[in-house]
Amino acid sequence: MQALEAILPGSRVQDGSSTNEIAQEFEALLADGASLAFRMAMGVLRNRADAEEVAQEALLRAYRNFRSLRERGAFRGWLCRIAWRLALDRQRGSRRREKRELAAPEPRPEPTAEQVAASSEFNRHLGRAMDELPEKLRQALVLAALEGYSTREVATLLDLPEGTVKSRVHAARRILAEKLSWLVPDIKKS
Amino acid sequence: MACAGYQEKLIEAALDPESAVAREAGFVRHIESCAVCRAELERQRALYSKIEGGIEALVNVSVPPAIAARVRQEISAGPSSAFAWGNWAWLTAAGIAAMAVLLALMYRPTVAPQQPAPVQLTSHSAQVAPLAPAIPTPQNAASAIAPMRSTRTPKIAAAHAAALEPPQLSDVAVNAPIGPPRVEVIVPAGQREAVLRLASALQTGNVDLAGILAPLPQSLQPADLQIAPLEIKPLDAPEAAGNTISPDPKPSIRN
Repeated sequence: MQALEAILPGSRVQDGSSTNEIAQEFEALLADGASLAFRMAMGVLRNRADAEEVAQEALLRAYRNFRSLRERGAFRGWLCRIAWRLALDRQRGSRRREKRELAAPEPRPEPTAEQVAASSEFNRHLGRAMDELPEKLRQALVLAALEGYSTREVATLLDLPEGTVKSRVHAARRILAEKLSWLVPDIKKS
Repeated sequence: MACAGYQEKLIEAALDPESAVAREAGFVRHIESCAVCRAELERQRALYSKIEGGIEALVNVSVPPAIAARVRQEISAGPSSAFAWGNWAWLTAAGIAAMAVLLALMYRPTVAPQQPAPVQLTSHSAQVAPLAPAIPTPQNAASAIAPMRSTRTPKIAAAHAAALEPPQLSDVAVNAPIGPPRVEVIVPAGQREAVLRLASALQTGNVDLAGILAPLPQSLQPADLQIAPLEIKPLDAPEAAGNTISPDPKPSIRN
């Protein structure tokens, strides 16, 4: 954190804290923030390398603008939004690249239920279906799936009422179920 | 296929087993008695379970410890790396702004002090036919309004007049300035005095109704267009170098 002194020599932020104090504050939030940013990015990108880069970039941006964050308690929600935006931007960029590269896509036959029995195949379809979700539903769904985050905490992160989060998660699951229903074979009637 | 009226309830019950629908007595009884709906409920539950499991598996992955370490490293690298882009962006923006200012200074329209342009009011009435012999009169309206600083107003008046009555080709040709630039205004015969009043009011700076309605001074009395006849001379004649407009009222052609 020596660099912070170089960037903001002897400066004090609005709440009166010095650069050293800011550095300490940020350091305290870094480990938890890295986990949150990485997992948010994974929820969008489904790729570790990409998610890692996005998380890193999100944390750096958060650090650069840390002084402007008045309520330090809102750090996680703020970081969450930064990571989410960056992940979406990267996903859009990679989609454009894919479109360019696949000038003449070969037609793929729709796989049968047997072919998609493997969970990896199911997850592939799940990922695609998640990509097609409206952004608000998708964000709530990903956050609600995070380990250790209750609906109340997700509501705090998104700055929304708890009921809104619940209904968004519910709607997202329903849409996913409708899209992926064909992947689950009929269960023998008993 | 689930029984009619139970499809929605099955989905709700699968999504949330604790919901009111799932615990509804009628629904519970139906599920116990209907094998098809029971199977569909199980299928829906399996589907939601897979979806939730898939999402949780996707996001709850182990976090690489390198992320925090790399962020610390980037921050420690200081402003040279963390703020390099910002510095370059500022420098580029400043450069572009400087170039823009420079270009604006180089190509700005130069407003040279204008010579007072004489304004001549002419009319394309019958008595100023292009070929009518006439002598240029020094007491025309142009000299009277000469000290006007701007020629914009007479031009506007001219434009209005032209809009009211389209000028003839002969008028344009006759009024083309020869020699030093002169501003000539073509107005319909009936509007000459009105334009002169306006010009006079503008000249005196007294642009109000009283100024416009005030009687015209003698010097501003409109004059009909006086057109000098064209004189055609051979090119090799020594006197051809002079003014081609002869004060001679009678047109003459010399060979």
